[in-house]
Amino acid sequence: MKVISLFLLFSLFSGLDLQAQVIEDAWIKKPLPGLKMTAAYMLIVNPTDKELVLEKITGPDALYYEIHTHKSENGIMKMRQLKSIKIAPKSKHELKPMGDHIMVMQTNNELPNKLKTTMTLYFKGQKPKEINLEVKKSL
Amino acid sequence: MKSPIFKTVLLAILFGATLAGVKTYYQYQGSKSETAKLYQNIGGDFSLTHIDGPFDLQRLKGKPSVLYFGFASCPDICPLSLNKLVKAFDAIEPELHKRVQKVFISVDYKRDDAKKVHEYGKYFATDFISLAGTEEQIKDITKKYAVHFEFVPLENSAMKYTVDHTSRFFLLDKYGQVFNSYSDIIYDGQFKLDLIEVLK
Ligand SMILES: [Cu+2]
Repeated sequence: MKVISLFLLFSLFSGLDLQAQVIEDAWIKKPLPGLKMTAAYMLIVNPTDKELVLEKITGPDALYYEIHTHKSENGIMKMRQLKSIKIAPKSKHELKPMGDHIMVMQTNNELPNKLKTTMTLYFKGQKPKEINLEVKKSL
Repeated sequence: MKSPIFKTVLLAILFGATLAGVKTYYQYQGSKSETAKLYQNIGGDFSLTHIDGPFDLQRLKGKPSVLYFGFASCPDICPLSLNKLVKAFDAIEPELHKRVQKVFISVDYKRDDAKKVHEYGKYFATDFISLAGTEEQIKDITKKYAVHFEFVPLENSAMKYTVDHTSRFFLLDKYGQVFNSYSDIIYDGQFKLDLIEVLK
């Protein structure tokens, strides 16, 4: 009995997790020469009936990963830090240049030479999700 | 509500609106010299530092220039703008490219020095003239060119602060006078026309 309920519980949770979120087209800008910082972008798809909240990011190629956004007001460009990114049920949220982004700081010396890197995304109430990102030379 | 920032923004809007209005008027008049007159109040001499040493407006004279103000730790706006600056020259004949100087000025006097901005600018085009300055020098040039910049603390960020800044391109003629300015130079047909004009 105990084993069965544990099994049920497990399959329920793993099933939830599989459906929880989909990350598409994740990429990170190759750091510009002399700079120890860059930004990463991706499309986050939330197929569930519940709001998805991205709260934290970690990774092996930099010391700091933060959620930032850009806005332009009266011709003045502003960058601000966000506590989280909320993705409404059954919707998508795109992190893209000139908009929301993952700011990556104190990058290591290897990152500019890599073709791929990884990040772990922490969504509220969910198991950490490891993703692969393409390192792209971009402006 | 009546904070200094509010006042600055209001002033900037008023300034922009006046500029736009006056510009339309002069365009209507169809006189090139009068368009130039409009900008005689902005711009002017400055002193900054290039990797090779002190750099002032005198050094830019003789050729037209395009100036952009930004900062090196800016992840997309500045790289995209500097790239636009390079791409915008595709609108003119290749042999004319060399006759226009591309200038990047970092307003982040706390983080950027001449060496750092030089490395940064070089990535976009080898002939980029990248300049840095002291607090006093940056305050002076931004005031003269009506560029707003402001250090904004990012409380819980490893970045510590960011720099809000006007994103605008300034076209200077070969005499170092501001000829016109643009929020965008790729899709702004006026930039191409002005460029041809200052290259005459
Ligand atoms: Cu950022």
